[in-house]
Amino acid sequence: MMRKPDCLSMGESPGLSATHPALVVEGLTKTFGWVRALNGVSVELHAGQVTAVVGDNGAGKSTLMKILAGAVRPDSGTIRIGNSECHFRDSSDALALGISAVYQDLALVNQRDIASNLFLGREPAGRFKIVVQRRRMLNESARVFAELGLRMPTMRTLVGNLSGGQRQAVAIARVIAAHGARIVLLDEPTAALGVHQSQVVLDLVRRLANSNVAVMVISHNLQHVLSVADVVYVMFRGSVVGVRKVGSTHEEELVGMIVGRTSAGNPLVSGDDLVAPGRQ
Amino acid sequence: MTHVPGGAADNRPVGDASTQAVLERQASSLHILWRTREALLLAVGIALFAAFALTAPHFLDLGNLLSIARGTVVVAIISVGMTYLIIAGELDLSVGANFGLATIVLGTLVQNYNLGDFQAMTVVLFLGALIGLINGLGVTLTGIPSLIWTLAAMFVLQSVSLLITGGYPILFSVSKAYAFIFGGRLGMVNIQIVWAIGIVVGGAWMLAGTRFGYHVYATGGNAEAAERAGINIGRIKVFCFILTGLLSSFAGVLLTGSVHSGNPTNGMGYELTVIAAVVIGGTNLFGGSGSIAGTAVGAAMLSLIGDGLVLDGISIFAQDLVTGIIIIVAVFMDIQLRQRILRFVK
Repeated sequence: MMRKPDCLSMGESPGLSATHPALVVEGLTKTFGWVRALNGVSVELHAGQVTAVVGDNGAGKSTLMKILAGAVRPDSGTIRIGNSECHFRDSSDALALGISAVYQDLALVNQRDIASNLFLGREPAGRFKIVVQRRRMLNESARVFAELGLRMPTMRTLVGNLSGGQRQAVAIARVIAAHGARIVLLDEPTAALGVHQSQVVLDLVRRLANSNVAVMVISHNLQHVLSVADVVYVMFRGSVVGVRKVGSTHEEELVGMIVGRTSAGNPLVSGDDLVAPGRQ
Repeated sequence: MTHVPGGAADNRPVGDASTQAVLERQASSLHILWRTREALLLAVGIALFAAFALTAPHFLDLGNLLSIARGTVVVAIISVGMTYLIIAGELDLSVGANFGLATIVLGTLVQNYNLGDFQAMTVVLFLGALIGLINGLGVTLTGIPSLIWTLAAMFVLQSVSLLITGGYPILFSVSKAYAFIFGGRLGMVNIQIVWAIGIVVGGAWMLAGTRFGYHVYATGGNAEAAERAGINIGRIKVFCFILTGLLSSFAGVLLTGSVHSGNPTNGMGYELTVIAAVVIGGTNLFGGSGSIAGTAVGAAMLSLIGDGLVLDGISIFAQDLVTGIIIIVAVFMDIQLRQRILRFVK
């Protein structure tokens, strides 16, 4: 059934803990045609921490996320989980290693209820794996949301009738409940959400981290980032140009880095982001 | 089964009292609106029924009601398969031709090849399923829309029927056992009605209660999400096509239980009647939602209209006129309700 992910152990595995990074990537590069999307990016994710990745459009955030989720293969660079170096052939490898991504489209079936979406593709069934155990599905769904501390309407509510924040919550609850994800990657979880809904989602993100999950959040919203994250990586034209602890930075500094200014107001990177053909 | 602390209490919404009340109210109101859609359909059915009961002589006779039920049989059975297909986001226009071909192949095998009637039936059911398989593989592997692929399949199958028969009906005889099992009577009730009820109930159970049914809804509702969740949407669609093909040929078998002839014009136009029954029954033509119960009501309504008009002394040619109006009313109601629900949520 499930292939064994291609991982090369590099000695004793320290396991996932708060002291050792859950996931380390080093020197990731990725080029699409002439555009260098990633230019030697290194990031660490820690269990129990929220790591935010910010940057302008085209800074390489989404490419980074897709590589970590196994959806895109890097040209070079290493990915280490625990103490093993891993190569993802596709997203099922990443899933098997406990990495789940929630993309902006959320991948929900609007015409079906919350419980059916939470158990999409892995509905609990009886002995011959035929008849769905509806009661059990409803009970376990309610339990999952209770554990995540989320208020939800009945599990029979159609997902299409939920608010944006609730839909985001269902998608996040699914990766936790379904795949037992220990590393969760969230793509713009608060985009297109109102103030209250955003807060619901940010609270959920915080609680995920508190339950010792390593969370990476891609976001444009610096206020949200500063309120929820522990560490912020700032990307600019395919490179990480700054790593800040949330307590030791502020919005203006981040904005400066995002638009490519140093604190002195000079350009941070010269126009090196385009790779001339044949010069790669 | 995992033990859940608190049991049934855990099934209630999570959260503090006030939010919970709001959410509960919201959910139940929406629920009522969804139910309203089915209630309205039933109301239209009952209104039609009442109108005929008041105006048409002998409409309420048990014999007539049973004849309405019997008139529903073929369309109801094929509609069950079509409901699966439409919910999965596909369509099959070759069901009528498949149905007609079944009666012809069965007649030819019995009459010209001296095959036993039950053996011929087995061959015919395999053929029906095979046609479904080819439709399913054709649509999922080539990427040709099912509307186009099965339109072509319809023409091909109709032509095959004409080639086999030379355009003439095939008359044949069947054993008493065969005639009883597929066309006999249990008291006043034609056994075909029992078959149809069994298939409708079984089909409804499979769609609503099994993993396969859940995956059919997911496939039509959001194919990409289903695929990412590990559901093989191609396989689901192929199964739906096979089911539809099989049920179409089985409907043909039932016809040969009472009418011992195969006719190349059998089933012509049925594809649209079947789709009408499914759509009137509230299944979304774009996939993702619908029910077998609705389809059964839709099929019964179509049969009811034909019967009532005849008893009222109105030309049978007016049947399609009324059917057309009903389709528009049903789908219009559907759209109105959906919009109202959306407005309610915002």
